[in-house]
Order: sequence, then C-alpha cells, then structure tokens
Amino acid sequence: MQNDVNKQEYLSALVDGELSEAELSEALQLTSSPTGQKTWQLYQCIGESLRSSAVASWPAAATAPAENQLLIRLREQIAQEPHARPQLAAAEPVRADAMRGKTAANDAVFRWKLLAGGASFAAVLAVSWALALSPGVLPDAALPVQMAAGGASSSHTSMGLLGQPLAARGEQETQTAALAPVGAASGEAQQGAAVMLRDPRLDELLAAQRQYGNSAALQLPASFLRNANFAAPKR
Amino acid sequence: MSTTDNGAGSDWALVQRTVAGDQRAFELLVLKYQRRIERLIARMVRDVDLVPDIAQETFIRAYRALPQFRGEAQFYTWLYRIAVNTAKKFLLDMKRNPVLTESSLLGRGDQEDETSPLEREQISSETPETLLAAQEVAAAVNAAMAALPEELRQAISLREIDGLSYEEIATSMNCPIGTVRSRIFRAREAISARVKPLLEQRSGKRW
Repeated sequence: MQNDVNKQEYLSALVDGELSEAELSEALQLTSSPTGQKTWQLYQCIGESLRSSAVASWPAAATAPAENQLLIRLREQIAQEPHARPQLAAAEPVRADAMRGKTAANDAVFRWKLLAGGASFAAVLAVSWALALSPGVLPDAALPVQMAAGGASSSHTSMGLLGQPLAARGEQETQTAALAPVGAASGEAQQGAAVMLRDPRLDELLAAQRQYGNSAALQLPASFLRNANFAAPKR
Repeated sequence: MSTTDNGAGSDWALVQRTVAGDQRAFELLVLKYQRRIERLIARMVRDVDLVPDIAQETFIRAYRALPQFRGEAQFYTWLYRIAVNTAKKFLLDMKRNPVLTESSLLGRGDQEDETSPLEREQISSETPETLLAAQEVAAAVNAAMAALPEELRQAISLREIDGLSYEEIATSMNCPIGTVRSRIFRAREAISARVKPLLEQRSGKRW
C-alpha cells in the first residue's frame, strides 16, 4: 500500500519533471496501467485549470484513457511502424564469446604504430650519436646575421660575438662591456654594456641625407624613453 | 530548472524515454497534449470530422521525428509546428481532391446562411454541455484548493501557478525538497478526490 503511494508520488513528480532516472522507470511502469494514465491526466488537468482561467479543456481530459480513440489508433499505428523500437534493438549487448577468435578491428593500426615508434627511436639515436661525436660545433648559418653595430668598435664587437661558438660568449660579453665608452653617470655605464642593433644600410642612407637625419637619430634613445616600462606605478 | 518551466523537464525526460524505445512515455505526451492539439487543428480546418485524423497524423509524424528533437525548444512548440504543417497539408490535399465531409455539408443547406449557428457548432467540439461541465470541474478545483492546509496550498500554487522548481519551492518554504514533493503530491491527491466524482458522473465510468 505504502509502495503504491510512493509510486503515485513519482507520477506527481513526473508531471513536474523532477524525477531521477530510476524513479522515472518506476513512474512509467505505473502509467502502463489505465489507473496510472487516469492519474496522469487528472494531474495535468489540475495544473491546467490552476494556471489558466480557460477551463474548456476539461471535458476532453475527462475521457477515460481506455476510451480514448486517438490513443487506441496511435497504439495500433505505432505498432506497425517499421522503426518502432530501433534504439532498443541497437542497444542489445553483444556477447563476448561471440567475438572470440576474431581479430580486433584496430589490429593493423596497432602494428603500424609499433613500426613508426621503432623508426622514430632509431632516428633520435642517430642524431644523438652524431652530436656526441662533434661537440661544440654549431652551424653559423643557424645564428641570426641581421645584427650590425653602428660604430666601428661596437660593430667589430658584435660581429665577433656572433662569430664565436656559444661557449665563448660569456667571456666576449665581458669584453664588450669593457670596450664600450664609459659615460659620466653610472647609468650610462650600464647602457654601454647593451648591444645596439643597427642596420648599416640605414646608417649609410641617413649619413647621405643629413638634412633628414641629424646626429640625434644615430644615437641611443633619450633617457626618459629608455626608462619607460610597462610596470604600473606603485602607490 | 527555470521558473517558467511548466513540465518542460518532464517532457524532455519522456521524449528521451520514447526515443529509447519506451512507448508508454509517448502515450503520456499524447495524453498531455492531445486536447491542445485538437483545439489548434479545429481552429485551422473548421471541420470537426477532420480533427481526429489530423491529430493522429500529427502525433505519428511527431513520433517518427522524435529522434531529431534536440530539446532546444519546448516540446509543445515543436509539436505545434508539426500540427500546423499537417493541417495545412490536409487542407491542400482537400483543395486538390475536394471531397466534402458530412459535417461540412451539414452547414450548407439552402435555408442557411454563413452565420448559421449549426455551422459554428460543427467547427468546435466545445458544446454548452462541455463548457458547463468544465465550469463545474473548475469550481471543484477551486473549492478543493480553498480547503487545503496552508502548506499544501502554498506548495502546489508555487509549482503550478508560479512555475517554481522543487528546489526553489524548498528554499522559499524553508523545508527539504522531499517534503515539497510530498506536499505537492498530497495537494494533487486532495484535489483529485474532489474532481473524480464529477468525471465519473459525466462519463458514467469509474475514474
């Protein structure tokens, strides 16, 4: 008795769309009986009546489901539908022993993956071996060559720096800092250590067109511009 | 669930069940929307004899197309479009093959003009008797609501009239969701107890 009441409560919750998946199955079981369908119709009618002042839908709902001609004819027609239960048929599980002795559909793919993995490993080994035999040799072409210094000394420094192997760079940077002209202020000493990127062709052009490019154009940016940064001021 | 949702969640659950092959779920949808669809069709075709056939065709089309329903619109909106298209197709077929139905002939007697009450009666299944019965049932619902204990009345009002979800009702009534569900069920049962005798009286069958 208590169980029936609980199931009817499921039906009430189904009207409101507030059922879990398991409860939905229970509620649908109940609605396969005429009593359950009547209850469903009654609940729908009560809701409709409460929501709307239009009460004309009541008499149609008053037709008992067993006499509902539309429902009866629909049942017959749905039973004749070729795709009446397509999803249930598709959901039937395949027994594991039925598949025994058959090769997996992805067997060939797996073999190819194994082969490709082996080839990649061999290639990595070959490259590593070649690098181990010639330590410290890096092709010069791999380094950028677009850098050139504006002044004679800095130009030599830059080219020398770029021409050296990477291992010797730290030492060269120290030398570059020593060769750079030392300013009066301590801030300018730091600027000397910085390598300035220059384009020799641009320099030539500016030298030829002095009316457009005065000496200021060939110099480092003004101090206020050097000190500009993106950091927000601290308050 | 939104506050405007009056059973849309239930419709979606039933649609999914139907697509999974459970026809009982589809029958619940038919029972829920049958009357609304029949009224819609009756307004379009103006011939009461055609209504059952078009309604049946509408639901069959909906059943076939159900796997394509994604739940982006409300189920009734989707069903409404199918009903309108089905009715239009019926009307078009009637023009091509103008076989007159019995009820459409009834309103075309030589003695009657276009304002004949007989014709108006035939385009709608709502008769004075059914309207009277509907009013009686609505009065019974109102009386049952008035007789409900306060917490039951509040719970069912928040759900059916305001369209709140169980969770929202639980918050507003300061009680667990299980209690809300139970109160709404008890309210519906109490109202049903008042309405059932009227339905039995009308149909002559036990409800």
